[in-house]
Amino acid sequence: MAHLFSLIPVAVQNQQAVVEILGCNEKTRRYGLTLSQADARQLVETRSRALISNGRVEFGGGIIDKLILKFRDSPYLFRQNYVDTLDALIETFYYFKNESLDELSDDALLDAMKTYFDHNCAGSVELLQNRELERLARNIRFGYSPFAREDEGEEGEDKA
Amino acid sequence: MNNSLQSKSITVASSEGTPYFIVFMQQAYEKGFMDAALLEKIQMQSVALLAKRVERFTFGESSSVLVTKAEEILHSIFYTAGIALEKIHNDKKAITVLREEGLEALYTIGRSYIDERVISAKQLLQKVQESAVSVYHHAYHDTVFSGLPQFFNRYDADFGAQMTPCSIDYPLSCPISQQTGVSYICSYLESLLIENRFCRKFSDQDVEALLRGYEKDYAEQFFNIFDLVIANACGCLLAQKDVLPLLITDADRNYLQQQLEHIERQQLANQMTEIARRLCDLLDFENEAMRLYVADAMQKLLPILRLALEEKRLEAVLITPRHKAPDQPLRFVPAPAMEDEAFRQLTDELRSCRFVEDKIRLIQRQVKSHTDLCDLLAAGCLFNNEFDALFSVLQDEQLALFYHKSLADSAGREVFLTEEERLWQKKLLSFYQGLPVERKRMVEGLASTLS
Repeated sequence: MAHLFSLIPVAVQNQQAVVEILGCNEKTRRYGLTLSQADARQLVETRSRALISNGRVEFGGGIIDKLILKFRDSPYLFRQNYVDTLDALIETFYYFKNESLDELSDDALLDAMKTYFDHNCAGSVELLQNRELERLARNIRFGYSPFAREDEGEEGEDKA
Repeated sequence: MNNSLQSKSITVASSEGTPYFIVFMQQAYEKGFMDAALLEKIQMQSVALLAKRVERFTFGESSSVLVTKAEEILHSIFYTAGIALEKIHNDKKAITVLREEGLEALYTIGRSYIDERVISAKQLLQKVQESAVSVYHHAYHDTVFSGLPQFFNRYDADFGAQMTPCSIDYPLSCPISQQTGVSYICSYLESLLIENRFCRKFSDQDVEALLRGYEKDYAEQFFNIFDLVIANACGCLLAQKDVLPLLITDADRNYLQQQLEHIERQQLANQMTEIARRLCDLLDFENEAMRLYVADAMQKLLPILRLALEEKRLEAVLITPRHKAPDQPLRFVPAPAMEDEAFRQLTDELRSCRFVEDKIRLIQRQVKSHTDLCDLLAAGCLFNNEFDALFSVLQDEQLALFYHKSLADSAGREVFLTEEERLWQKKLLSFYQGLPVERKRMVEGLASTLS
């Protein structure tokens, strides 16, 4: 009986997410960034994979459209790396939702990711994952302020 | 379908771990009370309701949650719907509600019924505490005065209704299975209340003597007090003696061994049923639930008694009470106080403890002197109900010492106390006033013999 109430996102939900993602094109076009139907499907698949691998479940359209709109004005995003970067950012987002013990809201985590990506990491997803967000998650686990930096002591907080 | 409902009924045998609601749906579908379309509709409604509940859980701030959390919330929804089915208590009506109003309506009914049950559980707990057995038994008193009250602070009817977040160490005579959450707590408290009322029919001295006869260090052992009492009461009736003193001697056991050794199983079972009835009459148990509980306990005792007869070891079931030697005056020998550094470390550690159980364990392990304990109480390590939790694990002798040193003749001493000392002494006084009369008498008796 349990399988009847499966928690895995259904096809309808994924289709809805594709429509929402394509809807963002209007707002990102002026930055020279657009996604095709195939790109949108790829991002939705990445989301499904990331959710499964991180043991999470999502309801509604999810965060992809929020992420697109948040990052659209990043100086480090351009047509050639747009889809791949979004792909990596989606995986990063769900991984660090877990690592931060769900203490940060979606918006707060996206804000932090955007600030680090544009400033401290200069567009490097690797630095974002392995240095900035890792430190943020560690701070949360140890009960410090999420944005405290070691070199500034517990009290020091960075821009995010 | 309505006709078939009248001729057939859904008998829900809830299997281990599967929510009652799911088993109900399965049976309703298999027996044709519910078609595939309705089942599918309810599945969709359950996902929609889950999405709603998850949004509420995250305050709308997170679109995703861990699968384990989502499963927990889904389980909570099904548990609540199952509670509604119990409340409706009519298969046909329940399916009509599901068909016409949907799962959310059933959930709403269940949710308000859970609130009602929590209130009735609180009232039951109060009755259980008022009727608690006075003889100190650690697992029993810890459960009644500390473990069970935790449930009401920690229970989350919205997102974890199926959980039973409290520590219940004391085993019941007839354990409760297949139940969780508030249903489990209500059933546990109802059973414990019956056990209390049964045990309170006998004098505290006799019950204490029986426990001491069972095990010298009875206060620290895990066993059910009611089981011992009912076994001896049954033995007294079988030996045609007065029940109230619960007194079984070697001669009684020899007599019973001779009388019952060769008796047929069925005959002994009949005799036990009769004994249960007589016992209830003798103890004025009019209530049907209480009579049923006693009868069940007696049936549980039957195979144990038979085995003891076969093994010629009746003393394992029918205990000879051992009364306490006449009271010796208690002598207080102060233990050496802790080193300042060790004391400071302990207070720091206590302040960083999140759960009161951890604090109590730490105190029990490290604090060996009364002076240290008093200093600790005034050191700002315990807050609000944590004082009561600590006082509830103190033994009679320790309470007697507190009574002797802090409570008796306290008038006039207050001006010399610091604010922290006044606080814990006030807490101690309110805890002490809430103790059963018998225990207070015992503590005061011990305190009066302190030298």
